[in-house]
Amino acid sequence: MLLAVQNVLWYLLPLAVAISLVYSASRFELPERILHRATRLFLQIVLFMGTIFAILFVLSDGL
Amino acid sequence: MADPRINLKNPNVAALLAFLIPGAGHWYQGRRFKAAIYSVCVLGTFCWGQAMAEWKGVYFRWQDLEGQNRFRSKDRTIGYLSQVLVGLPSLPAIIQWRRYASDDADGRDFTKLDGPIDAMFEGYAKSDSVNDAWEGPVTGQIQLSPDDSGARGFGQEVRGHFRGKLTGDAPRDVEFDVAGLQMIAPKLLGNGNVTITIDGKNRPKEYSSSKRILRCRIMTERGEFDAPIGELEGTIPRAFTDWYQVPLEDDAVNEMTRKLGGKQYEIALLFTWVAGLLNLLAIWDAYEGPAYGYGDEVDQPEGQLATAPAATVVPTPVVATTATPAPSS
Repeated sequence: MLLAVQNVLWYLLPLAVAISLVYSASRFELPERILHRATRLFLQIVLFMGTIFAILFVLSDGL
Repeated sequence: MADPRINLKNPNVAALLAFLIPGAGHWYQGRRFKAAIYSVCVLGTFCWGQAMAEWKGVYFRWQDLEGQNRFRSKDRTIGYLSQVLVGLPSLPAIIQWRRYASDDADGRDFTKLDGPIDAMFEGYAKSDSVNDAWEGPVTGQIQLSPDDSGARGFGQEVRGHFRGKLTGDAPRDVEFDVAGLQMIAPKLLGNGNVTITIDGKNRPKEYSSSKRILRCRIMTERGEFDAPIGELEGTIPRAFTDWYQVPLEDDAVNEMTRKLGGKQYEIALLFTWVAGLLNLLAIWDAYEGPAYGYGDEVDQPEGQLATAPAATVVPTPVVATTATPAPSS
């Protein structure tokens, strides 16, 4: 329900994938290293955004 | 300094290629995996954003409509400075801006025809001929030709012919001459109002990027002269090159925002901006190589430099050193 309401946020996932891949590709040359770092960066981004979203969601409850 | 194992070939050529087509610079260098990542991610992000904005998210405008250099913030497409980094897919906007800003194609003289038109027409016609009065929706082929000789001393004349079908209550084939172009618009706008207003009847407002509105008179021969006996108003298709990446005017932007919703249009723009910034990383990678190294270096704790793996470390040859006697004081 919450995710359906906030459907605009789903656009951020593919964007985070693209950013993670390109950023990691610009740092390293080895494909395995690129994919490994991209996965890690993607998870970090999602975790960070998720945390911020959760905080803002709790703070805005009842507004 | 790039890792010696990476062959950058000619970095300048690679950077130029990487700018023009994301991934092309790395393909030229033989770095196929990275070429695939860059092209898919950058072009994918860019095209997705464009598709979300109905292919009207990228355009360049750096002046207001009156050309008075009275810059307003909304007349400066700052975001294009990021979009242009995607290269060829966004460069048509420069050409379209030059066309848009030029005097002879400014899209504001709505009564002149640039060249002959032979196009599908869809609209509404009304004939007040004494012998044969009729009106209704029409579809068919319209041909119009400009005549700049100014035979009657009033500048350009437009003449043509329409052949098609009258639909509605009494459907039938119709064919008549047309002249006296009253309006053809928008000439060169990304998205314009093409609402038909014939006979003062209210019709739903319609914005379109793929149509132009056209209004002219239906003519008939009366003695030596032609006389108007009615009106024809409707739309004809507009060429792709006349709307793609053409600057959007204020009302067109408002219409886009209303139609798509403010958030979707903004996210679409965000995608195109991010695509350009990502390609900047790719261009730099093509020019200088990866920022942190090849990728097989041994990870070190934060704050310390990574070191090359043991397998690639070339042992320092032992050089027999001759003891230099310290200068005796």
